[in-house]
Amino acid sequence: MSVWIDKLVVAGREFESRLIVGTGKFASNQLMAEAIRASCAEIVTVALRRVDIENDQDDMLRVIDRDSTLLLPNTSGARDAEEAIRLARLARAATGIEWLKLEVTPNPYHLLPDPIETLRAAEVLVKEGFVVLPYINADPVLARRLEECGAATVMPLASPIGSNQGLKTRDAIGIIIEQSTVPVVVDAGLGLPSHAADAMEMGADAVLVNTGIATAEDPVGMAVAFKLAVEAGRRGFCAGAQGPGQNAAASSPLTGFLGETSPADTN
Amino acid sequence: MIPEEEPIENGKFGMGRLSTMQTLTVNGQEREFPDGVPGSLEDLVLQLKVTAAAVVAEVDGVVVNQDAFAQTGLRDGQRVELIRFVGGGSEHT
Repeated sequence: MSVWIDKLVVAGREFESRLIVGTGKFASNQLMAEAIRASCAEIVTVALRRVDIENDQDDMLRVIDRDSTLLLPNTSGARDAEEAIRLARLARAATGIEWLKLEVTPNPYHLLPDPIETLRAAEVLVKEGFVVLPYINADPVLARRLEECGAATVMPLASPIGSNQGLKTRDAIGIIIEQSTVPVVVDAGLGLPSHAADAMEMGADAVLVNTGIATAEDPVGMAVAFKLAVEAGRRGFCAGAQGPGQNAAASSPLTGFLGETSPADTN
Repeated sequence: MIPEEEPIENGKFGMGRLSTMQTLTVNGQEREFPDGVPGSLEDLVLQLKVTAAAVVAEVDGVVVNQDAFAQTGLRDGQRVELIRFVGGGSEHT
């Protein structure tokens, strides 16, 4: 059997895993670290917030193995381009890495990304040398505009963040996958391993999962399930999955059991 | 027994804040430093006991890496943001 070589390449860097894991909502840092290991993810997202001066906490990055995983700071909490740019510069200073998941979500109720502010921020950050991975609604026109301005990927949402609704934006994501020359990472709303497999079967280059793993009864077990689902979906896509047809198509010979001509053959 | 000296509150005796009291606005909250503001960012995080979490800071909007905390002096009236990493995927935390 030949070796399966199918790497994700983002901004010239190769990854064997196509599952990106978010680090929010885990019951403990320890559990988060275990789930990341189990997922075999090579990219993990983290967020920046003010230090809680009344309750000092450890630096959560200490539990993340930075030799095997690339930290991808996000700009969550940014409500406009200026806040996102400020968070990006802080993240770069803190980590020394220039990779950034750009997200601008002005409305805390639906957390849908602001397309105009996201594009504005991306234009500035790309010029400053950031590797920008923008989180967007599944808008093919916006995806193209971001690609043109130098985004390293596009990250369209499957459904609202944390909603576990799966691929509600399937048709638009299909267009984005078809047109994109940068990797398409389906992000947000993938609550079940089957959702992740679904996105990968469509031809997504990677998926980002957080809530689906972190809030499972057994986050480590769910991390493994997502890992397998992403691999299965990817292999399905690469093997040339055939889409649905309108009529039945027998997978057994259409002759009758004793050799009679079947009704279909007489037509 | 000599009672401990009470800090003089704003407006007490109609004096307003004592002009000698130095302050910093740390993470949006004004803090008073009767003995003067800490000499450096490193001294500030030590005083506030947040050395483990604070990985990067802003002083009057200028980004300061943790490695430079010790060399970054502070002055009365500055705005300091102390920032840490938290778990995050896409959601607010």
